[in-house]
Amino acid sequence: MDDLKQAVVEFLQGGKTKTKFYFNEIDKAVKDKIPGAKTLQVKKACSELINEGVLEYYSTGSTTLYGLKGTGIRTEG
Amino acid sequence: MAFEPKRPQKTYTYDDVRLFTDAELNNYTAEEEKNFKIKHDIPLLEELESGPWPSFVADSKRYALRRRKLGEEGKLLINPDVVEDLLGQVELSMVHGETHWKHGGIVGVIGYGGGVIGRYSDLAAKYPGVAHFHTVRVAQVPSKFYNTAFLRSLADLWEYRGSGLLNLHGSTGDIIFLGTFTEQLEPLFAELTRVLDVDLGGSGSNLRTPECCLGKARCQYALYDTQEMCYEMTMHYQDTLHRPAFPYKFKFKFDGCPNGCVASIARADMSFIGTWCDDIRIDQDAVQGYINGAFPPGGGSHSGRDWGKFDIYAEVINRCPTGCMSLEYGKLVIDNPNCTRCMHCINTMPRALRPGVETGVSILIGGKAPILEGAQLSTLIVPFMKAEPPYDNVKEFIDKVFEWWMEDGKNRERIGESIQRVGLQRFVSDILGLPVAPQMVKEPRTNPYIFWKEEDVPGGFERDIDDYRSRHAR
Repeated sequence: MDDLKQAVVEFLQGGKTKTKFYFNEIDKAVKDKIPGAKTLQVKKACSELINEGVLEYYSTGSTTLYGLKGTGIRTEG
Repeated sequence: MAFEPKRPQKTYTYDDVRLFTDAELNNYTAEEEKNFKIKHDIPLLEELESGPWPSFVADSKRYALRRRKLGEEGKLLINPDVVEDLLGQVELSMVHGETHWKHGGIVGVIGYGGGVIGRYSDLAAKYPGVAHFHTVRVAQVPSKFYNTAFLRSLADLWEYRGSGLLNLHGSTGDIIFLGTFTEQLEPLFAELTRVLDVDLGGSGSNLRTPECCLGKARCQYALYDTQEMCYEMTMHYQDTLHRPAFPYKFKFKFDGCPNGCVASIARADMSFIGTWCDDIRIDQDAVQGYINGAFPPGGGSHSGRDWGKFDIYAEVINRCPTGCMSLEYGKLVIDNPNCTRCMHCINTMPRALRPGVETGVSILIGGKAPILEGAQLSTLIVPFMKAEPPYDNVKEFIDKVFEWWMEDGKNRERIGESIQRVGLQRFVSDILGLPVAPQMVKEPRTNPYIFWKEEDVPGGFERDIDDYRSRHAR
């Protein structure tokens, strides 16, 4: 699980212009790096990173994206 | 089988959990209401009060008075002007012809990727009461059977920690709490789950809160226990409900019979519709009763006017969409293999006709009803499947669909669009490994050309494309 989590974080840190990513973009990047990784394992890794406070969800209401906590433009009041 | 909850169910009375007394909630007089003016001028919105229908503007103004008085007494946790500022901002949006909401954001409760939708005003200085106006979705109970203690407790809690404005129910079925500030989200969630024993619903790229019809609790037509199945699927797919990993939203809805009271075929990505696989049960004496006028057709639902004598040909047999019914020597005959489960004959003569006894569900995929364009009905994929606890056969099918869609679905693409992109035949036979049926064909092909793959033809065939091109230029 740790190698999956590391692959997720490395992918998110490597974004040049984007800071928020769809799950399947993360899934594809992790599978490219760790062949044989399963989608559900990648999801579990992302959920653990969310619980640890490393990642955060960004929701438009209809779709949800993942990003490193504190990065990118933040909609606030 | 009696319903068995997955964990002990909490019971409480309104008196246990109420936050306001009746006197606190009925805190203004008719005279005060008559003289009350909100702090913004809203002439355009007030025009809506002049129509023939009850207006949310009139309700909101009345409600703003109550909140102003509760606020003066220090009994609210967010800005008491929220309703007044909401009306003010909506009025300004009508003047400007554009919205002043900033939609979306990172707000939520810890660990959940759905249930809260961020919303902020871009005129927070002018309308501080709606500087934050987040939506919270609360999961509805299957079939929406509530008791008043639950509803009054919800209303109190939302009055205390939010705007008090709510929507019963949103399109997916959730109870929608409209408008609160970020700092109220975690305590609100704690009280919803720990005190009122109710969860948040789905939003974003999640499985949305599953919804079902009244089912066997109230309806003679229910062909499986919709509430049981809805509850089981809600609990089994908790992770997909709260931790988003789909390309887009995904909805389950459970209709007990093809009458479709929750309109699963139009509103759900995966529709479960009760059906039967044997023959419609016929009571020939009751058929004669309808013909003779002993029983009113449709359970008397159209008896308000004199429609004339019941005509079984005009009202039932000739209305059968597949023409599978006839009257032979006074007996009603149904060619059951050609019945398309429209329910019209059963609805019209419920004493005489009943669905078969071998019951289960049809599973349809791909329905959606977006706001702008692209609405489509679900397509029948599995004509019949048993639907009995623990529903392992249904879960196995769902898992297969999820696995494919998570892998191959494009972002912001509903599964119905994914199926259109790859083709229904490929989805059914190659991806799900199911046999295709003639009923899936919308219309016969007009082009007789058939492209055969080598593996489709017994014995296969050999083709040398280079040899072919030597004689035929591209």
